[in-house]
Amino acid sequence: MKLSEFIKKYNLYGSIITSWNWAENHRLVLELDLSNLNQQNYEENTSDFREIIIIFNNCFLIDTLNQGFYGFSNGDGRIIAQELLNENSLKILFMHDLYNGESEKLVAIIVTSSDVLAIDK
Amino acid sequence: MAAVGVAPPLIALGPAGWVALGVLGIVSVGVTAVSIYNASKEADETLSNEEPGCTENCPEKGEKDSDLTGEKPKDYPKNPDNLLDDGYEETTHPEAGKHGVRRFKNPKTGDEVEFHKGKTGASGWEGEDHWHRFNPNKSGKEDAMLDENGQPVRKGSNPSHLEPK
Repeated sequence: MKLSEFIKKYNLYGSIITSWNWAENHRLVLELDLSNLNQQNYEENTSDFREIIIIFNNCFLIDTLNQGFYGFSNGDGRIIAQELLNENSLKILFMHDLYNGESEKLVAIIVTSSDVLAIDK
Repeated sequence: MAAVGVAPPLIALGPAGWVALGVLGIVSVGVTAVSIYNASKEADETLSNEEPGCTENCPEKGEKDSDLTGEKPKDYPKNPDNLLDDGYEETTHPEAGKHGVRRFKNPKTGDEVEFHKGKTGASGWEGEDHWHRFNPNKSGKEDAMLDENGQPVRKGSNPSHLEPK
């Protein structure tokens, strides 16, 4: 599906990126604790999170803060904002936490992808 | 003290002087004792035995002192600017600020909180003003935030969202 369609179906605000994998052929694979609390169909008795995998095919990334961000292998990322720039581009702001005693670090990334796949675990 | 001043002449007078000196000494001790007793009684009447209390910016009855010492915000205010009056400093990243997310830290205690401005029309907490408070002793995502009672909770969980008052 297109990114614009994905965002209508899944709200990433408040979710936690638990794994960031840049695969070959311009493919980004994210594992998320998706925040059920911020989904349109949230019902009170459901759990706060559910695990999903998102695959961005034909993907390009832009590190808008020019911090040299290429992903992470430790810690997690708490998504504090998302902004759909066009039907194939999504800006994601998240707070990367390494749990090493230092404060979280803001990361702002524009993800461009023409084909997105979401898998509910 | 008067007895000391007149002692040498009285001693020189012989036994009669010695008796007079003895009587004078007893009278002096009595007068001193009465003076000390009166001073002590006066102090009891004007000073309280209770420990010194708060004299400025005192908590109201039933309110914990810690609410005013900067350990945490007294309340999570509707207007985040009000937190600046509680001794917090703003550490907001400009990019986060553009999206309505502001961060504050108390330099005295190290306490850190984050304000999220609700977005009109958004679902769930994204549509509501709320705060998060961070656990300074976090070990991972399971205890990274604090609930309204200051207890560790999962990052982004429902109880980690603190409503402004």
